[in-house]
Amino acid sequence: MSKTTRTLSGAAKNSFLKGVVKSALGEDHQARERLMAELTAAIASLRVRVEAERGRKTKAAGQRAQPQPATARTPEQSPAEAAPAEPFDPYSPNVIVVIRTRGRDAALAALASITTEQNLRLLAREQQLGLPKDPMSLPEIRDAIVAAGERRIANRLAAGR
Amino acid sequence: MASFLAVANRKGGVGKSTTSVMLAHAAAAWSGHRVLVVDLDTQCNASLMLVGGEGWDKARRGGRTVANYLFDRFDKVAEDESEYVIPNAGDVAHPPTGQGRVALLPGSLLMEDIQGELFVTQARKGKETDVVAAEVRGRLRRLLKHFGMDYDVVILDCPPGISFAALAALDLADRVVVPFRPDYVSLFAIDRISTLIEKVDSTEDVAAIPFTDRRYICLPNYLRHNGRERLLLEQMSVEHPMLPVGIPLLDSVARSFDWEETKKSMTEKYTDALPHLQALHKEVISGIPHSELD
Repeated sequence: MSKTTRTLSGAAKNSFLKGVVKSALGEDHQARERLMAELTAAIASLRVRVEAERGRKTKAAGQRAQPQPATARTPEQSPAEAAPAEPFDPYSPNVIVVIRTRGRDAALAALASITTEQNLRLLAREQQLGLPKDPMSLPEIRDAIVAAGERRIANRLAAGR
Repeated sequence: MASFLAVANRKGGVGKSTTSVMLAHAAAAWSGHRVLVVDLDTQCNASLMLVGGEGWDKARRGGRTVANYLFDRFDKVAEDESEYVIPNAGDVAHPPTGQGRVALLPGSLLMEDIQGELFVTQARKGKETDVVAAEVRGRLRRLLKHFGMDYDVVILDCPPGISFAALAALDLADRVVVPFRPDYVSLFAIDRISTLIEKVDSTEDVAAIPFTDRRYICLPNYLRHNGRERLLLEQMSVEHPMLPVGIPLLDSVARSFDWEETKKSMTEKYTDALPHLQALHKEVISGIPHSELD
């Protein structure tokens, strides 16, 4: 980074974003609040993805440097099965946030990038979005996650009336 | 007139008193503010942190607590309220030539009892109970406001429960800091306190108020920086204004609860929590002006 630039974070970042949003939307408070919420959520998830990417590179570098022990792969495993699993961040996308800010369709779309049952169930467990234990297809699991998110939001709203 | 800053959350154990004391020390040390901490919590933790057990016990035995003040002055005209205040509280040394000072209106174990007694006494006069409740709350608010004449910042350390005094403090506050732990029940706790602060009936009503128009701001506390915590913080940020700083779970913060007779510098007291406190000070205190003393 050159000396003529600086990183914006925290209050400075929020202030900068508010200025941009205000110049784009004028005095419409509600529209400005909505856009600020979406930008905040989007930037938060962007930060997560960058960190996950960094973590992946660090892990891959570490694995290259350290030879796997002979016991790491059994004769029955194919090379693909024995390959290290992709690091998965079970907190992204934040299902509740996406439902609240962009609706259920956006949440389903965000979950579409997760293509294994294991990761979907891990996300559901970590985000405390209860899933039935019955066998389900991937679209059914995504539907169930979003439905659980909606129930969680309704549960919270009920307590606040 | 002072700025009134309430530190409140209906949930206990979220760091209200710690935050109050840290903000008080920071305001005095770094902004040169004359600060009064009003300890409204019957646990009296802020008092213990600022004057120690013996100092608080002396105030209690001398009838010089917030409960005594509110009870003694409830039906009287305002007089010099400074006799109830302990000047030069806290164990942080401030430059003798500087203005920055922390004073304390000590807490009382009887705070809830005296509020009940005030209510009953007023109710015996034959008024409707909701009218009496509003009057008690209003009178406590005015009594607390008297301290605004003598300080730049008055920090109201609220109890977790909703008492007349807590409601009066929320009414009076120019701004409310809501410390919380990022856990599931805190979502509900913040929803509830936000309706009280904004004086609306439901969280849906709160949601209709733009963040910039709300009197409260949330402070994440006891942060561990793990994924689940991040998840909850993101969820809370959708519904509630959030400070861009937080206080991590640090031994140094826990140690800073201990009052010591020997005064020390901010660096010595807060050690590795200092950068977090500086960031908090910048967000919450630095914009508060020095008031013209009467």
